[in-house]
Amino acid sequence: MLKKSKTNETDTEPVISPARAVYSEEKTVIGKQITIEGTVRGKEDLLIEGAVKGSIELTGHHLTVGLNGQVEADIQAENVTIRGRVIGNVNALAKVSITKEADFNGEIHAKSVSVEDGAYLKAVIELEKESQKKNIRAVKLGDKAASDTSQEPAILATEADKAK
Amino acid sequence: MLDNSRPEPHLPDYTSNALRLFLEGLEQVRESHVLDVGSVCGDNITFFAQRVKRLYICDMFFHLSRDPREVLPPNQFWKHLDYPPQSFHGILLWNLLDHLDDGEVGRLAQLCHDIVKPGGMLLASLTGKSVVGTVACSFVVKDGYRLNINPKPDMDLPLHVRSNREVLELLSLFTPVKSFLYQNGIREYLFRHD
Repeated sequence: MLKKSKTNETDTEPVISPARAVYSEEKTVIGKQITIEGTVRGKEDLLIEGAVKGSIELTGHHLTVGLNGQVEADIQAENVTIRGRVIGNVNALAKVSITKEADFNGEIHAKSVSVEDGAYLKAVIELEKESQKKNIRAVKLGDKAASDTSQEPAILATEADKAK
Repeated sequence: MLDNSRPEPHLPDYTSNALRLFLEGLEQVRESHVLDVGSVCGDNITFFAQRVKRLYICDMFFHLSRDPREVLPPNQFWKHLDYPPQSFHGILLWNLLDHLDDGEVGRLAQLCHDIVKPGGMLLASLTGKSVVGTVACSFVVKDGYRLNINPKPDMDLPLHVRSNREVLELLSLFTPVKSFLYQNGIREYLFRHD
């Protein structure tokens, strides 16, 4: 069932100007019994519990694929949360969150990604590298910690061993 | 009343020299492509995705524990690693070899040899008879190349204990760069595809 859910329900229908609508907490739900083939475009948050095949474009908004959701689509959104099954490429301006129940197969392009242990992934992940320099510096600092271990390992074999 | 519960095994984290060498090698590559065969762990995905151009994830531990391998022909099981030849600058095998028989390790070595680029690296860890015992586990990367060993008792996988020589023979398609034995019994191997 296609329906709208609102976080703050009121008895009277609120009048929302287009400018305010962007900030409203409305969310459209594609229910379990709904199957959509084609392009889904929107300017509000979307929760998919049904099946969608094609492409999904939610510029500036949050897409959630629920536990029952089955999506075969290329996805563009601000944030994406995957709890169900997704096959396709995800392009998020901000964050992609994958929960432990998820089954994801595809590519992820995002600023950041979080994955809960237990999720199934066959994926390619490419993050925006704004902080790359900072991270490389952190790795260099980590060098000191790596050499400062009380558990110095024994070296078992080197290339020379193979030549013998 | 007697407490019959087993004590939690002591699983000290350790600093991985092989991981440090692996990452130093990747730093020489401008846009590195790395494959992690699992087990999947959010911390590792974040860690590596921030350091490489493209991180590929294919959780073979998931398939080991879920796919009915005994009734599937080997090609069906290994189809998950269906990447084009010479795709990767590095492959993280972690402790996958611990849970494969010799034939499967040979098949995996051949696959990895095909999909890693010449000059690319392979990192493998073996828990063997370490403090981890027979429980499957994942290696969680922390700052400063520290690795936390995270037991996964829900994964019922056979453990194959191998000697150093056996490991080198099974992966003889690759050139061993360096290997390490830690106080906790864990061994790490870094190989290169020449």
